[in-house]
Amino acid sequence: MSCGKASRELLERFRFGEELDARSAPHLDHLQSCQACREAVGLDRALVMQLRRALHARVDGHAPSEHAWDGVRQRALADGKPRSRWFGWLRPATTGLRAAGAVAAVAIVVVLGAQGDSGDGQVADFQLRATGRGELVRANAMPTDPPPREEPAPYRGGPAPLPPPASGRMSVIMTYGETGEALATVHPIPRRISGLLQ
Amino acid sequence: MDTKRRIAHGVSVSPTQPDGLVERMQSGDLDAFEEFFNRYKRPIYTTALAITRDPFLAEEILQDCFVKAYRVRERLRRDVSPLPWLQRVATNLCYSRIARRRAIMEPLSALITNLVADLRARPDEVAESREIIEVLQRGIDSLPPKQQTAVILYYMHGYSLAEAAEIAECNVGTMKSRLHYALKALRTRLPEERRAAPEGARLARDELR
Repeated sequence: MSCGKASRELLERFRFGEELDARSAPHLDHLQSCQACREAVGLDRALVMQLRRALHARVDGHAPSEHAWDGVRQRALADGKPRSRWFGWLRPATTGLRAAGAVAAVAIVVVLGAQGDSGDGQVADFQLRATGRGELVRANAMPTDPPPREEPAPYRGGPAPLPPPASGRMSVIMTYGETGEALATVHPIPRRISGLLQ
Repeated sequence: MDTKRRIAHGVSVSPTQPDGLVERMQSGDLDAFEEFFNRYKRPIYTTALAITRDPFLAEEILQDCFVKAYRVRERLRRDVSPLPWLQRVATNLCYSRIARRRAIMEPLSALITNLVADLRARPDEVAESREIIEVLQRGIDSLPPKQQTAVILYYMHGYSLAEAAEIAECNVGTMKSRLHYALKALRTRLPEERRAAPEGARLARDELR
């Protein structure tokens, strides 16, 4: 019987409070004759004792405050306020419709945006927020990239090149916000990329 | 293994709820909810405090846990104890917040350690005991969340392996493995001279017969 095998088997049995049985006999015989294994098993037992003390030291003398229930009660009641008597029954039925409405509203805006001709490529990026009630709200403008560093342009003797014209098309990225509302981020697609998409 | 035994703080993970507490809570009985809170608040608070080591944060987590229980009361099962579910919610809440609060927890460690010392012991023993407890406290803090939860559930609450595994949503073998690796990690943190088994824990030959 090797030291490793004996102590592994016995450590598990002692550690998890499992009963020693006939299969443990050879391991126990080994333990009787092996000081090192006895030390190893004893050390494990000591570690567990000290660990229990350390864990109890974390919580001894502490209890939830007397106001804990008041806090729970208030918050629970605030959460469970009854819904409107008149329209409450309608709410579950319209949940799906409201979501569908939000998506449809975003689609309409995108189509209208695609038909418009901005031409100059100066359309600012913005974000549309579709609420759970099917309303479409224009949120704050998206933070724009910092302006490019201005390098001294070499003299070419002609007018400066114009920025690439916008195609009038827009890309829409649908995401969901923290409270589950649909978010649509709209970016204009430059004409040169738009041409590649056709 | 006996899964119905009483555990620390007088709450057992019993497979049945004969008094219909959850059922009464589901019917909107606020007194039943208060009874539910009083029955389970202690083990939940203890778990939160053992993980966070911050009494204020532990109380916040306790409240969040029970507010959540009330919110989803319709879905609570009536035929099994809600305690494993509550413990699971509490540990998840702890680990979702602990990273933000870790920095301010350190000073509390010294305070707790001072409470531990057995004043009847000799001064050198007290110092030694404090040192080991301090090392272990730091060791427990540095364990990965799953191992830390395993150690708290099994060694502090006294849940059986099966109960701890149910709370941690793993099987018994995995729970054993987590405990094994946790102990191994803690052992390596002890200074070499402290790794010798103390008198009370040393195995005597006649103990083996």
